Amino acid sequence: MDDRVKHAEEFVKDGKLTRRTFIKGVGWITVASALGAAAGCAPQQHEEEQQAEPASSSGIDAAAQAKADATTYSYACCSYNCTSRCLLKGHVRDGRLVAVEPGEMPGRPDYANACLRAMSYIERVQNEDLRVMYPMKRTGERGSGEFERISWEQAMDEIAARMEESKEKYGPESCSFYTFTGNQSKLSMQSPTRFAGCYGATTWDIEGIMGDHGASMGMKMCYGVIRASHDTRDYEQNSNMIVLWGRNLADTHTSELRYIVRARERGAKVVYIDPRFSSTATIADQWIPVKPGSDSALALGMINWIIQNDRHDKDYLSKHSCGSLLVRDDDGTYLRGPDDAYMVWDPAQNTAVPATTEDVDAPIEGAFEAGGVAVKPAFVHLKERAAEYTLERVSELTGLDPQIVETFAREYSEAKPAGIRMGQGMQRTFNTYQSFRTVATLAAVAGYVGVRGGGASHMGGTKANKPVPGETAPEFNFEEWADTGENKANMVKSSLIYQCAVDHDPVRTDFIWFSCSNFLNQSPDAHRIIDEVFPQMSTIVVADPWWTWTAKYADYVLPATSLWEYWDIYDRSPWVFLVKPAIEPLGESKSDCEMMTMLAERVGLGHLWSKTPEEWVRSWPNPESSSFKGFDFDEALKEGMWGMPTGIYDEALIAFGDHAYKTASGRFEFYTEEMVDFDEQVPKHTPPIEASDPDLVARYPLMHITYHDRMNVHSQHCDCPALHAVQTEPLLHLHPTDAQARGIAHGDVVRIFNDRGEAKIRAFVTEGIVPGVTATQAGWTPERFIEGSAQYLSHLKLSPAEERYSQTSSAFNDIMVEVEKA
Amino acid sequence: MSEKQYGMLVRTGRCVGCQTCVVGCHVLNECPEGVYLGHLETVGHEDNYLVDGTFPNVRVTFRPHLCNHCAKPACVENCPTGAMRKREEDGVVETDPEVCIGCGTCVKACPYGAPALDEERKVAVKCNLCRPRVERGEEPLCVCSCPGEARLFGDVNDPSSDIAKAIAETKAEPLLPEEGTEPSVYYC
Repeated sequence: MDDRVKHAEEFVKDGKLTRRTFIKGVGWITVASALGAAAGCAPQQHEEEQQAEPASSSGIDAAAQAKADATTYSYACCSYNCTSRCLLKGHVRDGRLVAVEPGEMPGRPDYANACLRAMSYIERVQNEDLRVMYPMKRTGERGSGEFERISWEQAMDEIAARMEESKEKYGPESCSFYTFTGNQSKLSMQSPTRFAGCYGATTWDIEGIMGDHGASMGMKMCYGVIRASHDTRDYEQNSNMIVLWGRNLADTHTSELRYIVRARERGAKVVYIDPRFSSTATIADQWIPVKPGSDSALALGMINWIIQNDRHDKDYLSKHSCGSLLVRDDDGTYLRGPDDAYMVWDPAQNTAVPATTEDVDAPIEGAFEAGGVAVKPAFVHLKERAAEYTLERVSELTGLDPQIVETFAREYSEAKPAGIRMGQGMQRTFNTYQSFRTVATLAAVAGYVGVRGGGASHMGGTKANKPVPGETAPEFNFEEWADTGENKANMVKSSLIYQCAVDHDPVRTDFIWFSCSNFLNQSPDAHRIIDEVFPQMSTIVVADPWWTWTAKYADYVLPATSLWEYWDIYDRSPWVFLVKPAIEPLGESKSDCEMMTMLAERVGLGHLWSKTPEEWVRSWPNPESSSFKGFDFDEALKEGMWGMPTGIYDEALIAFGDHAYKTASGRFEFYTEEMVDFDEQVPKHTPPIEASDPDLVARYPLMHITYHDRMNVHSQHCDCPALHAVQTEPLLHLHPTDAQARGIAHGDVVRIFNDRGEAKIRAFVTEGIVPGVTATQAGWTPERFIEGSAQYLSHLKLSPAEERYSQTSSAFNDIMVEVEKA
Repeated sequence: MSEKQYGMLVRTGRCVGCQTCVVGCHVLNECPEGVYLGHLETVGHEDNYLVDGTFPNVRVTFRPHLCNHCAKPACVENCPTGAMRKREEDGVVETDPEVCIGCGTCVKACPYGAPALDEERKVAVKCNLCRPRVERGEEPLCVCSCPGEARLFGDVNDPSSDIAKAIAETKAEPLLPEEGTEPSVYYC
């Protein structure tokens, strides 16, 4: 039997598996057909039957009609944290969700979207084996997975008693409510933090430990806000070059992809920067494969090239950036004048004047003496710092050919305009605020900030309402929800949560309630959590729809509703998502709001939780606001959505077209006084911490990153069987040179390890990754690894600079490892 | 060739290989676990998502497959029961589960391996270009949910249709034309 027939036999055995193989071998398709005939299904013999009894569409149509008649539609807000926020149209039949498709967004039919994750998620939602069905109490050791079913009454009575005991012993701040991004609908995400407020308990400023804060911190320094987003349609319409910097939007923010694709077909050049040749790279004109953590070096090299070639936008830098603001030589602070005014140099009067003085042609270079104080414009500091980043040095730091850096800098500066969209992938190394900050500064130096088709923008934003002259009514009646009575929450940086448990600094963490969070799977250094952090907590409660890794370490596990089973609302002006249950809650699951109401009633706070979730949701839209003119709750509910009549739908909004930055100086600030102590007052490349340690590199020579891919929003989707068409297990991507050096072949099981831990995983050997770098997909839970977990490899090291400004951002992409064949 | 023939144009330059089409279709059609009505091919590779070339000069082409709704469908020609038929109204090739005996002949006969077998129900299952949706005035799910807008749907036989114009403009070609089944799905 020749190979071709063998193929055909495999195919007969398993009609669903080998189509890919089948399609490849053009030549043997006739063989397969012949095999079919030889196997006794001679088509000629059946032609008669076929003609005698022709099937018609009528039976098919009747079946389809019956199905359609039995189907109702219900909408949900896709509220897990990819931030696209799509409206999901659920098909419900016989009390079950059977399908999901994109729901239409009022005013923006182009924006309807539902990704493969959202469409398959209903499998996980309705899988009783995966769901927490009843309140459960631990009976074995933590992590043993031994629990017994208890009643809601017993669960809440006992949890309340334990919480009160912690409060009694160590104060209310020792009780904390850790609510994360697993569900960002208002009631779901905010109920636990609101309860913390009512109780005077601790809540956590979540961005640090999740590794997103470097982005926000860098943006905040420059713009005074954490997003500064351009609508993706702006790139589609106006950009001549689009730089997707660490932003794999084709996988992680699919609602944006269409606009980038259209822009490219219009002629915009799409440049993609990432150590990996990701899905987004496949539609880019150029892939720039940087070493992880070297993004700020690349941007500084470009800034230097632009300045050295006199292509920087001096007018913008003088008028709208801190470039002309005078900085004292002695202590590095901004020179302040009358009423604490920021000062610039007035060459006409040869003196320093307040920056708000009109008709001053303030220089961005030079050195001056103002009232006996030596000063220089802030731009001088940037220029001097950038000068350290020659093409050669940038080449060493990034792994890129100097010619690539130079050409990119030239093309970027000549594109006029070029828009940069940044993603969290370019941060997540130690001291990672530098990356967003430096790239934003690059855009400012090139004169692209506040420009259509330009900017250096964080994730996509469509939030937009027209101001209504004279209107005083708020859009939403949130006063009652915002009122937490006599107490308020004690907000603590999430970067400090481990030390809160272990060292009781700055607060003790004794009782913790996790909601919307698979904390253990999504936080760094899982062994540290299991061995050091959790044992210091007297009570761990997990409220979750699923039996997560974290749930297995809880003392009480409470069944939470998913986004298809509750009342909730999500304000994404100009849209308001209105969510009602599409299906009955599974088992005894309750919404986070209902749980908090039960807890409140047990500790004398019931008066602050007097509404049901539905009542809360109905109470919020304010009929007095122009944004809700003509609003009928029940009518809007049918569509799952209200499009505010005040909304801006047609215009692709950009950030800071008016140059009214929200910084202290009111200007784009690349010079940050608070960072003088660290010599980081202007952007600087601070290298990854583990890759800079020669001893560590000698033992663990590969740099490991985790990336968000098409399979998962964090840990939420690997249990959807429909997605197994895509991938069934986490894979370790590595370059052939690294694989060959270790005797590893594509598909081999390998062991990846460092001092903190290890995982066993299958190797995916690809040319689409920087040599010396390995990568796994984020979110996969331990049961999907052959052994171990990627989070056993990661670490939490506090960055003094980031802690000074706000908080450390976890460095999930700053990990050295070794890999060997298992 | 003058009758109405629904078909599709897949612009592979817009395909990022996400498989929203494969997964969404599987869910919408309530397929059993492991059964899909389409699949993704990474051109030139056995495993999906491997790339061509050597670092850093790499590229990749994804090609999502679906039933080609051929003008001369081998599945219809070979179906022993007559369950598989080609509709005159719109050229859609579909199967009647009430008539189908699940013998798998269509799967073997199809040069593209497009039909799949639902072994539990013992019937062949396949793409019907979301005919119920189309008749309601909606697009096939794989078309409207594609995040890269890689797919165009319409009457490929109507030269004035957007899809026919786009096929002509892009010089799109069907797969395996030499099989002679005259497929209605084009790739560019």
